[in-house]
Amino acid sequence: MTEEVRTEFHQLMDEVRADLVQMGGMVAEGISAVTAALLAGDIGGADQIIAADDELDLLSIETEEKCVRLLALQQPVAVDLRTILTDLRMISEIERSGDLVTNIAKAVARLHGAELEPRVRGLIDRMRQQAVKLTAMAMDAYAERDAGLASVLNDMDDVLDDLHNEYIVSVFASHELGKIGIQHAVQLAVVGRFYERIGDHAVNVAERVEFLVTGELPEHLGANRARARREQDEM
Amino acid sequence: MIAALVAVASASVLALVIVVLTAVRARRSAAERLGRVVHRFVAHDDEQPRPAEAALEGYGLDDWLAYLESVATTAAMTASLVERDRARWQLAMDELAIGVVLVDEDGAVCASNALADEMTSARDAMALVGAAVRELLEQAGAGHARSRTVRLTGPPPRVIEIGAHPVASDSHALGAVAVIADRTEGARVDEVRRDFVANLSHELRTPVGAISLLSETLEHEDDPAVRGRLVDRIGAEAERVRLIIDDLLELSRVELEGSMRPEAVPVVPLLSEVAHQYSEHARTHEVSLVRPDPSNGSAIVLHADRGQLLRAVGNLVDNAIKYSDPGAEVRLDVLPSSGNDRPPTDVLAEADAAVARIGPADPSGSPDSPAQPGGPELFDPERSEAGEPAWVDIVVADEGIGIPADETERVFERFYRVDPARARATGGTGLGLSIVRHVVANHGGEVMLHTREGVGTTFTLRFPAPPETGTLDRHS
Repeated sequence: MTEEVRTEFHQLMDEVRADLVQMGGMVAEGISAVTAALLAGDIGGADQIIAADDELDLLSIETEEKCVRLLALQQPVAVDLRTILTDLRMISEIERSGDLVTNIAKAVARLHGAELEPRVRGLIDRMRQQAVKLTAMAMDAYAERDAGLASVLNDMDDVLDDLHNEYIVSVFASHELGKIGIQHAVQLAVVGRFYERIGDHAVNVAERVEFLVTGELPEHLGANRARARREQDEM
Repeated sequence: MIAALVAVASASVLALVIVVLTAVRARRSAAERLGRVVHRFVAHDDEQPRPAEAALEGYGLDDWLAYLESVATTAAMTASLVERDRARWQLAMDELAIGVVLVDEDGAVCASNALADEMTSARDAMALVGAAVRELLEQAGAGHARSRTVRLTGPPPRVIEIGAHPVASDSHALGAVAVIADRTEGARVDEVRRDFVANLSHELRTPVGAISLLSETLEHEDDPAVRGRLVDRIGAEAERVRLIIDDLLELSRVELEGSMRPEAVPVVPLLSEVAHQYSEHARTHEVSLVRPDPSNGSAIVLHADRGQLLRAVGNLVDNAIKYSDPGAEVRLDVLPSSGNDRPPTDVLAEADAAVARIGPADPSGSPDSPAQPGGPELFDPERSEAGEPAWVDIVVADEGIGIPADETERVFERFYRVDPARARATGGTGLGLSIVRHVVANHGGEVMLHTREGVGTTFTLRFPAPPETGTLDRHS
């Protein structure tokens, strides 16, 4: 590659990185906005969030095209190749998180008229806080190529998982006390699951970052075990 | 043989002559080239000393080298001046309350200040600001001035305004500059103003409208039972107006500079008095009021306006009882503090409580900004750094419904209600926390609020301790 082409190549790679950070920002803002709409029962606000997901979809397609262009035209190797493959996986992870935000937004209308108890509201806000935190941390780990930061994300996700469990318990307690109907209780339970899934996607992003920096994926451990078992069976 | 030797010798001499001649010519042409280079070097540099034009003609290689040396010295000095100048500009830019990003004609960042770096390197929702800056700079680089407002939900909500302009000299594009301004405070003040007027007219009109309607009905009503009911309703609405007017007057009094009557106030007896005052209220709501342990910190004395303090703590206790479920506890406490903002209870800490701090001075100039603290001396930071308890915290903690994280600051605004329907039912005026905020500001203190919906709320009134309090408490 000539010097000129290389510069262009790295410029495009930097652009992809900036695009991904922007997508992460869109998801983080989406989580906050959809939570505000959910807690306020703001159906109009929720509709705006659903519409805003189109922007995220567009950006993810554009970013994907940039990755494909990099792969096809430059045939990168080694760390560059790993970076672009990571970027491609990240796009779909972040895009999925955006879809989950949309799913929560859709639930706002279905929850119309439900009186949420303070305890349930408090737990929703805490799940919001954790989901935003995990998403921002995963993006930070990605942008800074920080494998250390990425490696703590899995443990941090436990906080969100615990909150989710606590939330489910209080939603159904609220139902048993007759504060909300079964339809609304089920909707709320599903909403909690969406928050929890956003955390999972942040963990996936962090795992990809670890792969990018170290070349190792947590799944590799399991894959190695499977490979060993297969070899044993063949013997 | 000899002839051959002579021939060789003369050939050598000739060769030597040629070599010397060539060397002299080379030296002369090197001197000329060097002269041209040095000339070009100093052509645009007024700082450089310049020999007279006439002298240049006779310059040899050594003269030029000597001149070049002086040029190099001056250039090095100029470079360090330029570097210092640049550092000065950078430091000045870092002091700006706006973010600035400058890019060259290829779109590469060539300068940015600290605030811009902080905003554009965010990975949470603030990353949208970085993305907008990137996009607008690209358009400005192509010659189009652009601006955009990015609104982030938070909490806390943020309003960020970004403007990007092309930078050109004589229509020759040199790059683009982006300016990032945080408009959050301005937007908040506008909202407070708007809501204040709307809420005030609502709060006053509703009962007055009801009274006039009820009295009209009363005029044409003969049934004594119905008349009695109407009269009761009129009385209740009139009572509501009276409460609002009382609170508004109280608020103006608290705001009035010089209205403070500071004296030495022992805090524990004061809290007991508040608890006694609200014991009936607590009983009807089946809430237990927990007073501070008299053996603990009983020596704490504040230099304060007793009436204002009673009112502020009373308002908090009143709220705490109203927003608690039956069986819950409302705890009153006082403790010396070194000024941290950790959640005052473990339960709240565990619940990641939202925090709001309402400081003594609010420069916004909003209708809700407190009067300038006309109270006693402000807190002395040196004492706090020495680890001395330079503050006194009065804590009112409940296990009630809590306050939504995005409204923790708004609840201190006049007439602001988290849930208007519930507030009406509980009979508040919507002014209680505004009064608390002003009382604390009058005393040079601050209010802290830790809350989580469904877990509880803790208000901490933090007052600067009078000099003797810290020592008194340590000896007790």
